[in-house]
Amino acid sequence: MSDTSRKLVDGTVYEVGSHPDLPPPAASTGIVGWIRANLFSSFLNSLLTLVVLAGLILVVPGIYNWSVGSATSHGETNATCDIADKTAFVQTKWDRLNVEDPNFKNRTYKTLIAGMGNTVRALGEIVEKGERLGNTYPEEFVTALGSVDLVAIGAAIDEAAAAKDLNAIDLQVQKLAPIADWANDNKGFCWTLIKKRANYFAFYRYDKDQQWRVWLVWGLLALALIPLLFEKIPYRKEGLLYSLAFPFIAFVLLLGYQIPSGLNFIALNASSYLGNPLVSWGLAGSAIAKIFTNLFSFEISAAILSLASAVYYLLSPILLIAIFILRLIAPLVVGWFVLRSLFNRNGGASMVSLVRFGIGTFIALLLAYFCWFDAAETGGNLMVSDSIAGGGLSHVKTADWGGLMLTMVIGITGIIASLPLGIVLALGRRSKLRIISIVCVGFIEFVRAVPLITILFMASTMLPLFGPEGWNPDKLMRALVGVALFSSAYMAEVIRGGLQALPKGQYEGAQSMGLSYWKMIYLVVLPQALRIVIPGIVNTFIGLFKDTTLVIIIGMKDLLGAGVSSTTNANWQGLDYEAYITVALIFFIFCFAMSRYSIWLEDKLKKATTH
Amino acid sequence: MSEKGKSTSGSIGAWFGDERVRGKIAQGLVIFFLLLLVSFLVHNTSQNIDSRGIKTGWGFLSQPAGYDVLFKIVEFDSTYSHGRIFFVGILNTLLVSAIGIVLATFLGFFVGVLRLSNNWLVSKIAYVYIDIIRNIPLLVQLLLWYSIFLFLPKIQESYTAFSFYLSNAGVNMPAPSIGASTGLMPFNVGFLPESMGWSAFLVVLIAGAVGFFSTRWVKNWGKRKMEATGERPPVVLLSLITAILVPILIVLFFAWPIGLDLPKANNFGRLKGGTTVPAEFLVLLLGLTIYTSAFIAEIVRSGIMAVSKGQTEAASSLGLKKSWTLNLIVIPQAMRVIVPPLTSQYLNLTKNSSLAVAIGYPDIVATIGGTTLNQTGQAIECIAMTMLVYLVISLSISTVMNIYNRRIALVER
Repeated sequence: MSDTSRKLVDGTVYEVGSHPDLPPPAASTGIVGWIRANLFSSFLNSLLTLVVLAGLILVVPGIYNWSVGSATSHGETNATCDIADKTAFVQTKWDRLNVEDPNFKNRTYKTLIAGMGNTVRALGEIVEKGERLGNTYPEEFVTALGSVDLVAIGAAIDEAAAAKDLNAIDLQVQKLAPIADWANDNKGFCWTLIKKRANYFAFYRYDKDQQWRVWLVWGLLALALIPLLFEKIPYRKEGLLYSLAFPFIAFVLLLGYQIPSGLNFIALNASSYLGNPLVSWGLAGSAIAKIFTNLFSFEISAAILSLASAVYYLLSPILLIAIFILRLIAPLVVGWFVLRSLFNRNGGASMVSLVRFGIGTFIALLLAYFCWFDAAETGGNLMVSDSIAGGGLSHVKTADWGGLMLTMVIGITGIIASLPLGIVLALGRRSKLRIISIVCVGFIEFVRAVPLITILFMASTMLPLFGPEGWNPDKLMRALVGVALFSSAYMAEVIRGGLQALPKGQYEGAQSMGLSYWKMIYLVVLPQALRIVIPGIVNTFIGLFKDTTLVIIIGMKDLLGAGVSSTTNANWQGLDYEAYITVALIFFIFCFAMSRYSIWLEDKLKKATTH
Repeated sequence: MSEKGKSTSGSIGAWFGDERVRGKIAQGLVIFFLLLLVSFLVHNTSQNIDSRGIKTGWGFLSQPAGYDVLFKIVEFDSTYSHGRIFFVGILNTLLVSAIGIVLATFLGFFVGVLRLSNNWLVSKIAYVYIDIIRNIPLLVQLLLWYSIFLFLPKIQESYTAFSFYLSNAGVNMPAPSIGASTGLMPFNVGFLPESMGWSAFLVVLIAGAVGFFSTRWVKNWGKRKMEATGERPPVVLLSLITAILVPILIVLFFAWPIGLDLPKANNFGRLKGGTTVPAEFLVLLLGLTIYTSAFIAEIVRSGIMAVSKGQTEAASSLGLKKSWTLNLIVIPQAMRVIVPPLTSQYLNLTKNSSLAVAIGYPDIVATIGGTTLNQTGQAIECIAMTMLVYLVISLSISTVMNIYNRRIALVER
């Protein structure tokens, strides 16, 4: 054996340095290694792991049993769940009495037993009433009930309690045993609530046969989100335009609309003339139809008029939305041009621009008066009426809106309204013009210092006072105004973060290119700043989405509101946990998904900037 | 003169083309439109108030409130005025916020540290806790806790341990009472009257001040001693003594004999004596604490993670103990990152305490912004008062925290 080789224990001989790499010790790789490193790395750690495991073993089966094992989903109302709950309750009470006070000497004795008797009797009454109403109970319960007379047992317990005859009470409780066994298997989570009330939780009292409109809006929302959420898709610009129009489309769809009388110059019901259901034209319509039938054959004129009315029906809501948007933005657009003429670097070299400015301001104010105040006086509703004689979608009162749908309406409206407001406030806050920045800082800090609930109270009680006499905006509108003001202050802070994060060189570069302030903001600053703050915007939205629950305090029925009114509904009483846990779960799914998206986006942005 | 070059110099056009002038015009316009808006609103409001016959002014503050509240820490019943209920509401808001802030800080730091534990199971459980709590609206959580509380047994059947009675009405527990000697001490040094009033408040204040300043003195003394001798006296232990034990001793000195007023059940199961902490208070406190703790835990985690690993390694290479590394190196640096967002969480907790109105705890919103508003119909005054309270609280908290923040900020040379 040479100096440079070694003989190993197993007899093999290797040159020094030529032994193939050994695998790492088995205890430090694979599952075992992972467990050792992460769960049992030290004595304290092992102890902690064992304690936590013991806790989990205690808790998890209980949760499983409650939500799945002994859960029930039977029936049309809470009846089955209620009976199971109450029976289990009696049993628990009796057990507790036996454990805590086996000699029945202390104070718990009287009240506990009295409560038991009452509960059993109430139980009997529930069952009897249910049977009268034709409620069906699960077969196991009916078998268990057999010939047990609950009312009689309840009375007997009371009697025995009065006589202090504990054996008699025990005897009565024994009689309940078969039902108690059944109850133990059914006292868990009452899935019946979710099965039967899903529609209520989603739509509240929105007309059943109009709910397709909400589904349609949700579908359109999903479409509108695509260009917002993903950057690399074809036709993104066009898609963004659609996303901008989406809120208006959604409101028109949800609220309903009547084809406005101004456009409705021929649409009155006289379909009998042509006997064609598609053509429901009015007196003027039938006159036109007469002309057509004189010119063409009956079939051709019917075809033309059907086509025309179909186009008309399709176009009128679009036209309506367009008019609505136009009304909303026309004063802003004119105002924008006026301001631009004022702030344009190269403009304003003569008297002409001052005159132009004066005329422009006048026109903008005039437009604002006609477009906005008129709308404000009619409550901001767009030509909605309960009759749809002229065609359109029937009006669904906002008081009937609720559930998840209302939560989404408030949340999404809040975030959409807060974006432009937030941008303006953030720019104002960073403005060099002292007064403008003071006003913006004042607004932002004030709103951020007070709770949302006070702003909602203000919107719901004081908004009607602020408007012209007789103006009475509906509840939803008040809540929306409050939420929009509230979220705009938070949004402003998020956007300010983006504006500050932008390197100074960007501002200076834009200025050295000779861009005016607004061009610099619009072309250079905002596109970059907004990109940076998208995760922040999503986080604000999560906060806002959770905060929408506060509208229940001013009497609206959002998702949580629907849950709360379930707990006070006679058919669903006693299912508080079920209602609240369902609501919590839905909120969790939404908010969790959004927070994951925000984190994903943050990582992506980080990678993009570090490259 | 080069008239051609500056064709419009001195003319109105050039004047208008000046950026500063246009800035002034823009500001003038903003002021003008704001004034226009305000006068429009004021005009409408006064008109509406007239036509609806709503009363105005602050007269209602001295009128009897006509309603009682279930929780108060100062004397109050329905014969007291609306002004008094304003005071009661402020105190209730402050009480629940202050206790909530302390509890949420402890729980949040605890969970945040668990989240960083190298025990996978513990860290994951902390993670699940944080994510679940953060993604469910506080109001839903409050209503859930409240419904759990309401399902507890009635007061006659309450769960009992050491004179604490837990029922759906809340917790009945022993209260300290002056003059009720426990018989342990034969002598009587206290001179507080039996009915605790402002004098008791004063004593507590003095005790607090003494505790605060003695703690500061201990800290400085420890520092001086360390600089002089190189030894580190047990400052943490000593300051715990001065911060907790000394004030308690002072209170005991002034108020001896001090006894416990125990709640006792009579034959009907009703409880007499002691003090009752109503369910609404406990639920609100629980909800606020848990909700805010999840956010604080995340802040703590990111704060500690922000301290670079080199700091810990440098500390251990200097031979510092693990606990010293944590106390002297990691935590002071982490606090710089933690404090600003922590402040906004404290503000959030205070603002969120306004959700009390949903479960009927009489805070400032539920009293002045709720019942008083509905009784008097004076929405403007009531909401203005409510908002003012929150404004003052928010500004105070952020001022205090700013001062603290400035003190711990990195001093760069």
